[in-house]
Amino acid sequence: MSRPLLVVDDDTDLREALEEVLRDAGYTVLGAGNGLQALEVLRKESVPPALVLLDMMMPVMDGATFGRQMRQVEAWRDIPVLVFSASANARQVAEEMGACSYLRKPVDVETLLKAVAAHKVPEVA
Amino acid sequence: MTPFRLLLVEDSVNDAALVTAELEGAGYRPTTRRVDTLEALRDALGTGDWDLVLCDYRLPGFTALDVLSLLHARGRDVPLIVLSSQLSEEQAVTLMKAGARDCFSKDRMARLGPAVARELEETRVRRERERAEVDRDILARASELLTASLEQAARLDQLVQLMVPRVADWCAFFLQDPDQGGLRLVALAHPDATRRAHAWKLDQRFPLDPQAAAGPSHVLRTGQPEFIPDVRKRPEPITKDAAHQRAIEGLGLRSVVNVPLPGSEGRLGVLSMGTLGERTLAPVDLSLAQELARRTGLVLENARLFQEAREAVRLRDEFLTVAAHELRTPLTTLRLQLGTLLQRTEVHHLEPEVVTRLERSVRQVRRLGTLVEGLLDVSQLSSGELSLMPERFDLEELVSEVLERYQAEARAAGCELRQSPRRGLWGTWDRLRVDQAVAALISNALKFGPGRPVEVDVGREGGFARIQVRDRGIGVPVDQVERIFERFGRAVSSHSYGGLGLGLYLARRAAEAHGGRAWAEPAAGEGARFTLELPLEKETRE
Repeated sequence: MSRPLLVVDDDTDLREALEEVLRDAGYTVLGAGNGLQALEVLRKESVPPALVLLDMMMPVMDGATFGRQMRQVEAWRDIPVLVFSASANARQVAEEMGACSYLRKPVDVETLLKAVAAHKVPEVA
Repeated sequence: MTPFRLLLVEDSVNDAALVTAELEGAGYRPTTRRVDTLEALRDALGTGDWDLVLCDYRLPGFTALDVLSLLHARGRDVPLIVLSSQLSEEQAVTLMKAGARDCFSKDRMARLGPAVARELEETRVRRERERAEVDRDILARASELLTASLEQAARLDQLVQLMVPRVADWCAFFLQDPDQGGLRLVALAHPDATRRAHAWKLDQRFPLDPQAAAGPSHVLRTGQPEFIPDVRKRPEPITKDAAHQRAIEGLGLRSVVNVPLPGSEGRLGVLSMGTLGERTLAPVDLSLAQELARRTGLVLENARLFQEAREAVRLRDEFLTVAAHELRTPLTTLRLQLGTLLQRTEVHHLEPEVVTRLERSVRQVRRLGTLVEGLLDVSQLSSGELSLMPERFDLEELVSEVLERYQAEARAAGCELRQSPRRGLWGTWDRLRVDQAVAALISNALKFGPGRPVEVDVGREGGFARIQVRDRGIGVPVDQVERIFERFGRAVSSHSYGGLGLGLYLARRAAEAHGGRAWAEPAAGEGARFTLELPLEKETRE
């Protein structure tokens, strides 16, 4: 069993579309609707995710806060983060929170898969 | 009868009466104080303003020379004339050298009238000139303060300090409270710390009554300046509230001037100044206060307008951020859903008609995305420069990515997209902005040159990387080659060709933000050639 991907986005339709694309490409995918839910998912999973796709503007707990809290936990500190934001300064935001990379919404399937694959996430056999 | 304030230094009552009679005979009725000791003289100089000093030469224990040096020490600009029973020529010369304006013997009293007339006139002219100098200096310093980059509170604080003590004993600004209405004290210059604290407390405890029949509120309401030469001679109290009236009296006011601060939409506040004790204000002080208030009003007004404009820009930016988020999110979902469907139809070998329609939908969603980005960029550009986020990349690779993205659209337009052979052209630019600019040129070529090939050439020219897009379409008339780069500019009717007319405008702005250029020219044969030029880094230049 390979390590899953965690998709964090408050827009349900978008999150499900993302999960679908990633599952079609062979990944195992977990979802969360905001930063707080994402922390809960991390706590429940025995294996930390291979990559977090993180939206920034979310209710309850936004992406930046989630990123900071995740980094404070030893076991989660090194999980790579791909900032996935609609903001015009997505790259700056990604740099500030020490994320590995960023994608600016909107993207198409090819760009998304290329960015995820760049993190060398092992695919399910 | 001309009144003036006379300080008579004379120990003989008879001689004093003689002087008074002589002055009255010459048409003067002075307010006179007679002193005959140095102590009394010091007191007189400390408490009053004098227009003239008439002085006996020899008095018990001192001479006119002592009086002159005392005047000098106090910095008083008051003419002094020495009257004496016997005065040697040598003594007279010494007195004149020490600053006496005139000396003559008491038995030549007829000279007194003309001498007083001359001295009063000269003093008046000199004082007026000095006062004009003070006004000029204060207004010049005020102009400096008003144009300096200062916080408003600090600016007003320094402005009131300019008036004290040169023109008035205290000076204050009252401004309209934007929340509660009414005037609030915002700046105060006053030499006495206790009185200053008292004034601030007074403003807290007794906010100025907006309906007051006098004072700053009245001036704010009517717009008419107010000049009270002597508060003590005012018949009616300033306020009906006895405690308030006592508090005002505690300020020890003498003369008061209140002038409105003019603004374009009504008055912004009031400049208030005055004197304490014996000093009084004159109409010339009212004029200065009005000029200072006028200039201050202008600057406050500008600051307010600037603040409002900045707030509007902030709201706009906030709206754009939200709008961008709200528009981009559904576009992402749509794109991903269509992409997934397209992949699945290919996997499951569904009928080509479905594929064609899905492809069409993908193209339209992508177009929608470009339009949204363009609109957001244009709104942001209208108030400032494009901000760049440079990174190093291969320009040829980026161009081929853009061409790849436009393959479907090119097929639909019946155009063949050709790219010059790739050799690699690295530089540091904003990837997103360059992508948008190249896409705008390709999209433009496909739109205006359907059915014909479009050639894209990437190369170097001097210190620049150059991307040229050549179409074989309707071409651009020479007189339109600049217009098409303007915002919403187009060379053809918007009825026959769609689009917002933003693509080329943004392409040029992106090129310029990098220090490059974008232009169009008619191509040899037919169609047009569009060029995008971006500066290369020094080390990559040949």
